[in-house]
Amino acid sequence: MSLVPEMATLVEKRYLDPHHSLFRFIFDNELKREGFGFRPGQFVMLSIFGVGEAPISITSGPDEKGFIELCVRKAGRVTTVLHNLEENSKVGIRGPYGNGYPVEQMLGGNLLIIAGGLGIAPLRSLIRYALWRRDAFKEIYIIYGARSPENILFRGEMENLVLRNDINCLLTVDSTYGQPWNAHVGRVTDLLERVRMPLKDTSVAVCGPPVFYRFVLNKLLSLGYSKGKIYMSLERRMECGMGKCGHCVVGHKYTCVDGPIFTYWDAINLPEIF
Amino acid sequence: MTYSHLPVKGKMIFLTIEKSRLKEFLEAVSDECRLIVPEKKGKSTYIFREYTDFSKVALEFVRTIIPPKRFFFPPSETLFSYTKTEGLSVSSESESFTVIFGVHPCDLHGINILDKAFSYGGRDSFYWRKREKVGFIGLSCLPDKYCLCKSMHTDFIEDVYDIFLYTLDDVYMVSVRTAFGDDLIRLKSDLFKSPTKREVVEYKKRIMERDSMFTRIMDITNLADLLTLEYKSEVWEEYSRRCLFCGSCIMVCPTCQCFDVYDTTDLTKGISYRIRRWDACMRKDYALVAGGHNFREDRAARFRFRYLHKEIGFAEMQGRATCTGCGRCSETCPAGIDMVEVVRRIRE
Ligand SMILES: Cc1cc2nc3c(=O)[nH]c(=O)nc-3n(C[C@H](O)[C@H](O)[C@H](O)COP(=O)(O)OP(=O)(O)OC[C@H]3O[C@@H](n4cnc5c(N)ncnc54)[C@H](O)[C@@H]3O)c2cc1C
Ligand code: SF4
Ligand code: SF4
Ligand code: FES
Repeated sequence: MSLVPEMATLVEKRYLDPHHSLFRFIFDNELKREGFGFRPGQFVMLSIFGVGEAPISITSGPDEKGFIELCVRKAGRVTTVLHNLEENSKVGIRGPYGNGYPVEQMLGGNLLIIAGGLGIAPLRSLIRYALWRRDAFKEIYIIYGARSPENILFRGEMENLVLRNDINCLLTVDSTYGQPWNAHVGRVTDLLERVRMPLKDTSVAVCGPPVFYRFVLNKLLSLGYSKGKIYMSLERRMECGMGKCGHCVVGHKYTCVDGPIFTYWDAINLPEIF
Repeated sequence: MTYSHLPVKGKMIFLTIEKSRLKEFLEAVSDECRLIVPEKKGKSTYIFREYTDFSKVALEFVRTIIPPKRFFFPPSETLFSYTKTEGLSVSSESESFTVIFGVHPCDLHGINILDKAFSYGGRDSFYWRKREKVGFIGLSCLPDKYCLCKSMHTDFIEDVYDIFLYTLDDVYMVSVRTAFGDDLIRLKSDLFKSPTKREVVEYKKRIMERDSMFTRIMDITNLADLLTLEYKSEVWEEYSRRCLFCGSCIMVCPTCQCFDVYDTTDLTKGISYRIRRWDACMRKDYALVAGGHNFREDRAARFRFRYLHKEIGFAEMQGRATCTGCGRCSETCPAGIDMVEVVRRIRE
């Protein structure tokens, strides 16, 4: 395992909202391009040479071969330079890192996916995984909330999911801010009341900002979901992504190796989690 | 010279070498590979450095300022460089072997702990490419008032080293652990003999004597429980007010592994470098992320984190506490903060 990245080329950049864009990369090395496998929920370390590295979840699906996609918010040095890159620019990518969602354990059951804001990034990969093998799951609910309609990332894709009749996709915004919107206005927790599937056999994957977690987790517990079947993705500072640099440690776990996906049960038993 | 790090479990060869002939042995080793030895630096401080002259080699010292880890985990190292035209170029590593002489049991345990840390979740190639070319000649020692190895169960070592020397009256009792150690012995095999009955008796006597010399004891039974129960103890607050957060205790620790990764650019040449350098978990922005959220900003939380980590944090992965009891942190701390005292206060 090495801290040296593979060279990759930015082949496509798609504007999502003023702070987020979708970036598609292909590895320059052909073997790597074809052989790069990952699980939904895993992340890569993205390098911009001369600037630095940042951990970013893979947002494309594991069955889409030949490229990977990252959905990135302009947050600081690396991510801002990335947003300014032209297509065909060179970057470095190493990984995949982290445990990812335990998809084998989720197969055969119901799936409830709850995303807030940029939390859709790792979950989009899980959604793609599940839809690729739709029959391997029972019921699927996807609930996605954002601040305003223009902040719904992947809006076209999400609206297509709403139209599908083999899954239930529910969208909500905190407020319409005067923009056109014909779905729900209000909290994600309101939409959780609408989920109609047996709790038993349901895996829940949640990802979003800290306040979002607090509300959603409380709601899930009050609705009776098992702490052992709620999967959350933790965010911590990361410098190596491979369990060496120490920065991502929470209590006695490395977020980058033992996580970033933790069950709620494992997470609350880590000291210094909240 | 062949090289194998695998200790031959259960098999250990004991030899002896006269003290007066150690010089010949070390010179032979130094002819064969790079030799690092402990030397006196200040009035009572020691450092590991390149062998020059046998008369400078410290044979009776307690601890060096910085542990030997810097020879395979340097304070700062360039991982690779990048230019637009030539792409990535990984810094190359020299082929020469290094032997570090005079490493005490606690530091050998420290190396064992780092080896595990740099293997967890996958081997760190930059660590291992250096580490695989380092061998150790251990040396027995006598404790001073800071040594805690007995409490931390690191006062003996039966692993990690290639050769270990126990100081007796006229000879060193030599334990040979690896094939590489055997290669070194064979550079000057005429210097080594089988131990006599009298030497074995002396060895046993010395071990007993050393065992009775430890004045500092830290009780670590049920410490994991205590640290968990006292997670919110005001003791952390109190010490965090005294602590200067200078990070010295971390820089001298044989098992601290934290690092930062960052880029620098030489604009005139158009080359950028990726560097890793030691970092300290006590630093204020250690857990800071983009957007300004800091997962461990509070002073007491940062102070506590180091203790939790040394005593219980990595126990699951390491199978033991990651403090070796080398005493460096207590000796170095400018605020006079002593681990034994902190743990005693938590236990009270
Ligand atoms: C497992 C994981 C998955 C992530 N997935 C995504 C994603 O899909 N899309 C997205 O936009 N963002 C994601 N993030 C957050 C993203 O890593 C940060 O926004 C990014 O590191 C900011 O880097 P910067 O250089 O732009 O910011 P700066 O503030 O300039 O960063 C300075 C340094 O801090 C480190 N750092 C800063 N913030 C974070 C952070 N939140 N996590 C880890 N290290 C940090 C960087 O590595 C860098 O070395 C993820 C974070 C983690 C831990
Ligand atoms: S050496 Fe002492 S003062 Fe400095 S950070 Fe460590 S405990 Fe605090
Ligand atoms: S915590 Fe202190 S005594 Fe323990 S190994 Fe580190 S420097 Fe040595
Ligand atoms: S990111 Fe370095 S240990 Fe997890």
